[in-house]
Amino acid sequence: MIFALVIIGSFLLYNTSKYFPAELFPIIGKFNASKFLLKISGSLCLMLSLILSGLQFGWGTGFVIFLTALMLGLCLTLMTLPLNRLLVYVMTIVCVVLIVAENLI
Amino acid sequence: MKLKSLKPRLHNAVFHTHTVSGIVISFALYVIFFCGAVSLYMNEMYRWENPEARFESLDASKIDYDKIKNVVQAKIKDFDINSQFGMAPPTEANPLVLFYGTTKNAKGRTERFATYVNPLTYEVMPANEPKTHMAHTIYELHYFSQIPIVGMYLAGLVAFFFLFAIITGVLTHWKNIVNKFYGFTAKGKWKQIWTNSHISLGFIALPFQLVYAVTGALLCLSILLLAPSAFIMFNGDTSKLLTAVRPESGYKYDPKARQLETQINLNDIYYKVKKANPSSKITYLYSTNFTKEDRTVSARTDDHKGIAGDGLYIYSAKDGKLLQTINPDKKSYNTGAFGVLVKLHYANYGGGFIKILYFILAMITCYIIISGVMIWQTARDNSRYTDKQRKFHHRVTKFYLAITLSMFPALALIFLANISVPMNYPNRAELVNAIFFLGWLLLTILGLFWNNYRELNRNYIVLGSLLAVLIPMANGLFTNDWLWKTLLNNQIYVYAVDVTWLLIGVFGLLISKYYLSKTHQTSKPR
Repeated sequence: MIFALVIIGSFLLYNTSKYFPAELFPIIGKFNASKFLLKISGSLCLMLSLILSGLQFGWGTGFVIFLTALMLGLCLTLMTLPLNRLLVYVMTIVCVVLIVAENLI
Repeated sequence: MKLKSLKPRLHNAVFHTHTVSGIVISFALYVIFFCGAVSLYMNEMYRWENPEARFESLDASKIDYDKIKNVVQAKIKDFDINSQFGMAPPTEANPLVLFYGTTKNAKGRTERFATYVNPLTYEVMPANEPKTHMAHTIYELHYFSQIPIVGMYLAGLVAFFFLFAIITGVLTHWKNIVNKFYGFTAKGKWKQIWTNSHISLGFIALPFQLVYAVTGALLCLSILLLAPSAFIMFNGDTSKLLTAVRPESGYKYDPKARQLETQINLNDIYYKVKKANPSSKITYLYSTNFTKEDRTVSARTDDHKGIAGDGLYIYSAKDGKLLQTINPDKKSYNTGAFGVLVKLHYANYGGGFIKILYFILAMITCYIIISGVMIWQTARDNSRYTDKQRKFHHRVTKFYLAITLSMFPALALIFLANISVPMNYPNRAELVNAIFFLGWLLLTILGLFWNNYRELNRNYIVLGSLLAVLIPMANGLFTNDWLWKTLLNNQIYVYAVDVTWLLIGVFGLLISKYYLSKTHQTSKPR
């Protein structure tokens, strides 16, 4: 769940950027959500992820794990979304594998 | 939002420092990160690497450690029982016991050795002659151990310069950090694409890289880095500093101490520590001066969950009294700091999940390193430079790309070589290593004939992907452990290696077919 929340948070925050490839995701444009709302909900997701991580591993270790997950979540979001819409599916698979791994290993 | 930039003179100085330090260390740094990412799974790959280790791991608490010590003592010639010896109990990933010890010949010359012991049969493998060395070769390449004497120091210096490059990089790109935070884009000119991705990904992954620069430099250059601390904190007494960081190094053993007749039971110490730490695993059980009056038996523990979850228990083997303990829950800064840095480097916390995150982040760092070199090349590919200069820049970039990108097919090659050379072949580890290093060299030379960067990248991906697809097939062919069999037999570690290579191979081929085969005007270097 930690990584899933990070990915959702990263996606929402990336939505507020001028670099977000809106033309590849016309469905998102239809929601016409305000940037403020996106920033708040994205930050909330990240906050929740940090809290979950802290509760699961202890606050020190939890913070380091959250930071690592955040770095990877942001990098993956930024690297895959602008390239091609098809890569979103690949990224979804990678995220599902990571979420399964998070709960299994 | 744009941050205030540095003054032009300062910016220029910092910018050139970043460029020079980055270019100089770039290919060494790429090798370090690439091999380091793979080495994270060194233990998990062991069953795949050594088909003779594909049996179920015994419960570590059911192993007779005294018997292991006795069989090693009987089998290894000149085994010195009073020098420090120790053993790493089997894990889920590696079912063998790893034994470290020292031999001392008649002339008094000592030499460290490592060997594996099968905990089911108590068979001792020949010392320092492992049948398989694949993962260790990659791990040793991670810190240039193959270069005699200076290899590790070189790796440490690269890490140190990396720290320098990170700091100057942040200062150089300071003004663009906020407005280009999400700036990764596939549009525009190549220089813009490389620059944006370098800044954006570089800044996002900054804490990860900073951790590796600091911990890498500390692990490889510990003597040089600890010396100033010893001078400041302990009036130049390095032994006091070492005792503060690693309390067990403070124990002085007398080689002339009285010989004792009674033997200490290693198993008893193991059970004592295990009972005190039921949630932790004992990662190393070791003893010094084993037959002497001042002997000690120590156990290292780790819960593999917390970042400070490692502990140490030192027992006096004379009367079984606990001499010193580093309790994971009650650590001081001095005793905990080094362990935290080691755990941060090896990703030994947060379970297996964190290793996946580290692996992908390390690969992203490899991309950041490459993008830095590509910025350097594209920025110099214009009329301000003479043809001769531009050719030089092109040749340097091509050479760099050939060394680094050929690591992918070379890595697949070592896996193939390891599984296809028969286990009873004499000196097989050396042969596998030779195939890897010569293969890497040949692949690099081959790359120098491809003049176009896109072609070079695509060809290496195609070569690597083809070899990658062959790996699970070769494993099935030579060991009869086909993908479906390993899954059904619950041989998860063998299955995971095969599946990972298969996925890498298939995705690599798809990427090269659908993306890299298209011609792109801006991809030509000149």
